[in-house]
Amino acid sequence: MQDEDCIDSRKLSPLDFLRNASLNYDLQISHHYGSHPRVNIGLFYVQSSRASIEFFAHLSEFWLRFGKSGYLSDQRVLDALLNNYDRLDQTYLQAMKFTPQRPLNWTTHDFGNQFSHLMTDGSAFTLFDQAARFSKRSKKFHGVVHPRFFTVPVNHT
Amino acid sequence: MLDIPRGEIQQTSGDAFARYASDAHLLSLLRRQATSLKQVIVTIIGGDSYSLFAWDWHERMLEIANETKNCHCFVIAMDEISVVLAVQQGVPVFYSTFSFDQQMLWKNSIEVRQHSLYRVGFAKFGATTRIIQLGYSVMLSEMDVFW
Repeated sequence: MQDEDCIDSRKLSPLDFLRNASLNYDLQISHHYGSHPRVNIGLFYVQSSRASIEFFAHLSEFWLRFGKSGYLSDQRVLDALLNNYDRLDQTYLQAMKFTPQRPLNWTTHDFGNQFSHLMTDGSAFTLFDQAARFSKRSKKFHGVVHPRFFTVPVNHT
Repeated sequence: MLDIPRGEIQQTSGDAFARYASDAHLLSLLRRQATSLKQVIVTIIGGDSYSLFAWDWHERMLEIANETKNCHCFVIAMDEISVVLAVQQGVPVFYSTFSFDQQMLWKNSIEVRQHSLYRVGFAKFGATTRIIQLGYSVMLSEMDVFW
């Protein structure tokens, strides 16, 4: 009985949605299906490996040197430095050459799709109501109860 | 709204922000929060994130986590305000900040817009690099940003 309950009520954490671990990707980034990567992005999973450490060390170095001098988008920088990606901008690669010892094994991935936006399934409503109940927030999601208007629930019987 | 009792506030001696930004604190966070496969889930707060975002996100992660106490996540704060908010709301936090020497090398430090963009990238890449260098795998998620 306990097993059945576990299967029914087991919610899936983001880590359950990762690409098959046996293929051992160093980096999984969220897929932006044809749209601008900055519009719906911001989800990646890095496996700690030599290739990923090398890549991210280079990425951090690049950002430390060039991130402050122009209005660079961090996502564009990440995409530009990925090997074999649709080259968004050659200038990033010209600014700082990257010759990795180990090629990065990376992929785009859906992450179950609902984890791109953690708040867009209506959970904001329940969270804010909970916050109001635990007095972390002064009013509920839909606002303060107006003293002049009231709603009468009608039972159609 | 402060849940932290009086005594604890006085106990934090020295520069608390430096402590939250230290390697030792990051390592202790990773050891505490990681799964058995040494994975953690992380998000970045600060800048224009609303004040309850850390708590909301943490609650959401606790809701979908399979373990009751540990959701294997912590928060990376970009500025001091978000560090304070996260600590007040009881969310484990790491403060991603710049050392004095790094700041001395900057040009155009003052421009706010450029700096806020720079901060996000620094938190995303710098903190991630430090975490994976310590041997832990990271899932980083951030709020939607329209460019």
